[in-house]
Amino acid sequence: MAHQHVTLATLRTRLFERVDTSRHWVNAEALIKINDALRFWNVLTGYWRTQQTKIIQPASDPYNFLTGDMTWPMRMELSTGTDRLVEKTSIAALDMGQPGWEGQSIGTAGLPDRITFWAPRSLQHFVVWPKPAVPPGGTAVTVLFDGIAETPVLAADGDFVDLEDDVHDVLLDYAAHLLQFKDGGPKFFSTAETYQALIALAGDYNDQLRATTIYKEALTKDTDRDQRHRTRPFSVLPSTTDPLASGRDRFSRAAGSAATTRQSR
Amino acid sequence: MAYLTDAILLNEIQYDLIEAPDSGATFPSGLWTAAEVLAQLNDAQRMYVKATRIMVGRSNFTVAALDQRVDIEAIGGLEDVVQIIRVSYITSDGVFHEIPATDLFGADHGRPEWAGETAAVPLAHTVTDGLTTELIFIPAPTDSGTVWLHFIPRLPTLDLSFGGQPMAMPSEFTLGVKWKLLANLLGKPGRAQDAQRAALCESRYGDMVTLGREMVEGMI
Repeated sequence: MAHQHVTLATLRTRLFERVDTSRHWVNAEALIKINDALRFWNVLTGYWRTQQTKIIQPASDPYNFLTGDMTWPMRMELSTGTDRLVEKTSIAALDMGQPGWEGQSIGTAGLPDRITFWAPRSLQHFVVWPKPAVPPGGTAVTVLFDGIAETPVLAADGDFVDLEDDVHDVLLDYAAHLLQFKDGGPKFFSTAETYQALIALAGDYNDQLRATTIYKEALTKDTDRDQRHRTRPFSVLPSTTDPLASGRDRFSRAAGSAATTRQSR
Repeated sequence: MAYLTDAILLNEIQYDLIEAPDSGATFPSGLWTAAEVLAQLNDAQRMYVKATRIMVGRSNFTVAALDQRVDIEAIGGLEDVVQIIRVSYITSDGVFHEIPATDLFGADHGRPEWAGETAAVPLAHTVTDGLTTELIFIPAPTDSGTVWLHFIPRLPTLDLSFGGQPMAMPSEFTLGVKWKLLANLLGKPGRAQDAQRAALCESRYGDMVTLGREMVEGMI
């Protein structure tokens, strides 16, 4: 899918085109909302990636910390060998499936001869099983993490991000929704479906997100729409027989892009 | 790693509340006080960390033989524990055992004789039914051992000092804190109340909790 190189100045112009310019919004507000939209997109999809090498020292402790600019890890592999993948699990699963795992080391009879599983403890805190054995029998193990990088922060007009074409519109719609938060009332709530549209589109970029309740709710239960329906005065309803048509259109756009397989990024 | 500061976040909130942006120093509308908003920011940050477990601390300490009740507040580094989330017990021969959580009701009915018993490895622990800061082993360990205690730490208080204190989490997750703060401020009874926006903010906060929780529990 095509990427587009977009500067902050362009994003801001296109954002202001989406809102009532008779209201006074300053550039600083637009900057905040664009950066918030980008951050939320990164949380939903892990759009910006980074790699990090980590040397897991032989120790009596299977708990390790990441350092550097990786916000949270997604995938681990060993740095050498043919069978490199280290499967991700959870600490609860290790407790259930491998009692005593915290004390188990590579090389112990009956255990794998390499790190087989890893699990997050907190954002930058993870465990491995089995842990590298303490010398003289054991050595440090080098692993590679693929994970989520910091979201780029736009500050100057020339700062830019690379986004895929289908992401621009939905992100800017959501930023416009955030921008109108301060107004409240019908104007704000009439744009609330942009939140669901963003989550629906994010499901295309992150299959695991589709298993979460927020994704399912975004597709099946638009509570904001219910609320808007109660509060919006008839005078501002779109001139159509279906008052929810505009929301559906936007939603269909997200669903349509979700059906398109992403080739590369 | 990029961390927003409390001053930057409050400055952003001021735009949302139609207050003059001055890094949270004043709220000229009189609907909120600066101290109140800062306190709400601290509460929101602590609530988000507790709900998601995106930050977890660990403390190791030894337990003497037959020590059924341990006052964890007396152990260095555990003065400000918000919630205990996992307890491992390591016997003197170096074998690890996860000690699941229970409560005294369950222990009394499942194993009525536990209070007078000992075991090489405690079967369970509880932190809910003893004194406020007490960890109770069910039953007491026969020999001394080591405990690895995982807990949600109480975060340092943000106070806007030195031009702004860094938030405790990467900037992506401050979105959750921001939604919670707005929900609390707009939900306050009085002239500032906007129940609809407060409800929406609370809902968005809930989504950010779901996302944070999924990340540290092994799925996303």
